[in-house]
Amino acid sequence: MSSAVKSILAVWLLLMLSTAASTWGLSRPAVAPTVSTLAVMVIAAIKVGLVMAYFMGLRCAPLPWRLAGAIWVAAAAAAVMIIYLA
Amino acid sequence: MNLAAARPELRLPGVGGIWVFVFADMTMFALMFVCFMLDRHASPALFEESRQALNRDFGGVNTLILLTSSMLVVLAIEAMKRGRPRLAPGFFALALACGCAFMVSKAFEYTGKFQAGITMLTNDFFMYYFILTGIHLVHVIAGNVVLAVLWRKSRSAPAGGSLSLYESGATYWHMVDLLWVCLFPLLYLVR
Repeated sequence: MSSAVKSILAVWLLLMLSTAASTWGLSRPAVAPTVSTLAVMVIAAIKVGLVMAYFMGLRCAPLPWRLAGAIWVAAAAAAVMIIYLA
Repeated sequence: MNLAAARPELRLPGVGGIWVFVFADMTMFALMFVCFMLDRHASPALFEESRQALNRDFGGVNTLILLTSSMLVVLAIEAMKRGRPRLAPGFFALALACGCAFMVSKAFEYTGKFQAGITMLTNDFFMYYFILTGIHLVHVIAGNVVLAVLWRKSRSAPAGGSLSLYESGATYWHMVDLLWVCLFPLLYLVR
């Protein structure tokens, strides 16, 4: 198995585990709503970053495209969290 | 020592046009996320009560399905790059199966809502729910067509010089996955 395939599988496993943690762990009533929501949003932003970097291949793309991806994730996550906390 | 030679070549997968489309589409969705959050901010009790009518198991399993599908597409492209194009059709077929599973799951979920008397007109939350997931579902259907084309093409003509076509289709499919990664927590988990 090549190192590229190994890293793809490692990222996929991380994405699956973090999805399970958000869906069936953080969403439990025992977790405070604000803590749960912010944690879920941060995890979602990290997941989007991983999909962009490793699945879409942006980590090896020219700088302007990497910046565009980073700005989209940061702007979307910040807007959602700021409105939530307002 | 030539440092430039050691640096990996920077390259955008697929054609540039698909990336312009992807970022335009993602920006449109981001604006809809903001509208959803603003309306949620205006009626938190209604949105929270309505959110509790959603089944997060559907949303979570659908996320796992799309992430797996995306990973399989990456493996298909990787197989082509590594000179093993005969592996690609199998990966594309499995990715397509995942895409179809998402549609079936969505059909069950929508049916349950309609049977409970919930429609787009029920309230603002469900208007967002049906519009956002409906537009996303249209993207999934288009993505499944793309995957079917890539699967068929990879079977008939082993990839060589046309890797860009496969990468463009893959980029679109990853965007569909990425948008669901955002939509799922927004609709099902924000409380």
